[in-house]
Amino acid sequence: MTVGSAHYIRSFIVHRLRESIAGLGLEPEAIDDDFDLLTSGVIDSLGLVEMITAIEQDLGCTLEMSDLDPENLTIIGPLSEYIENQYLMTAQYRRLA
Amino acid sequence: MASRASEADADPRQMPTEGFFRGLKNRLLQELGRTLPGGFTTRVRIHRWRGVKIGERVHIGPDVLIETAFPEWVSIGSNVQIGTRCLILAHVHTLPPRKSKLANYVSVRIEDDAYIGAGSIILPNVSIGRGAVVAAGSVVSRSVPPMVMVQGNPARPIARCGIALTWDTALKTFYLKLRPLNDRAQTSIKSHESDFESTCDGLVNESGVNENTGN
Repeated sequence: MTVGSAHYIRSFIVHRLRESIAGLGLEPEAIDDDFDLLTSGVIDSLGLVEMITAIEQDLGCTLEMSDLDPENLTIIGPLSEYIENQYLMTAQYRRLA
Repeated sequence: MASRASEADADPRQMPTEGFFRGLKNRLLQELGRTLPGGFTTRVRIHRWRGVKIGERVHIGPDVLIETAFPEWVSIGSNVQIGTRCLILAHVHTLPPRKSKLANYVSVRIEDDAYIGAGSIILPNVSIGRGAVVAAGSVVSRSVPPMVMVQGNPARPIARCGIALTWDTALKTFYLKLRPLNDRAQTSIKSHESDFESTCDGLVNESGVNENTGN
């Protein structure tokens, strides 16, 4: 699994929220891409921003979230893909700089 | 020191008397304001009749209790949302305001675009800054700087709000702009908080000490 890939981000999120997801009677690794972390009760507002910060720390970069469609902020699939794109853009920028 | 003491003697603290009929009116309206429907309309109007200063487009949830005895000591700006079962207290009987400051005295000030989550308790002598967010169930005992989210008992700054959480703001858009505060940022917010408190009329005593917390 490549660091910064959507799959890596998704695993990071699932691992962090494993207990809450399992508490819903779901298999953490088997949740769908359209699983909404907020409306399912897995995460709250602060948990969400803490998670983004944790991902930033793990990837060692600051994520620019303003281009993300707010509706996708709490949907695990699109969120992971967005962060992957942001990470790739940051990495590319670093290489050029 | 001596001159400060003599100034205090000349301007003693005094809790105004409420009066039976005024008290009765306040309490009856308070009960109506808690139970009647109309978060943007009826409840707001009723609390205005009681004497609470309220701006435009304010939403007051059901079962909200706003200072029973001295409602005129509460000032609420525009675009403010107050969640279900909030409690706003504006007086401490052991710390009445100075006699000379009774006119236009404000103990609790909630500024424009602030959001008070359900079940929160706002204690006397605090100001909640513009666009600040009080998370549900928090107990606010110190003033909250603008565009900061506080949570807990006592309420502590936990995040900086990129945008205000008004009635028209989509919750996920608000979350998207929310940034958590680290310890260093919290210290900075605390220092900003003390500056902010000192600018709020009627909230801080002559020596610059918060009357409620002693800080």
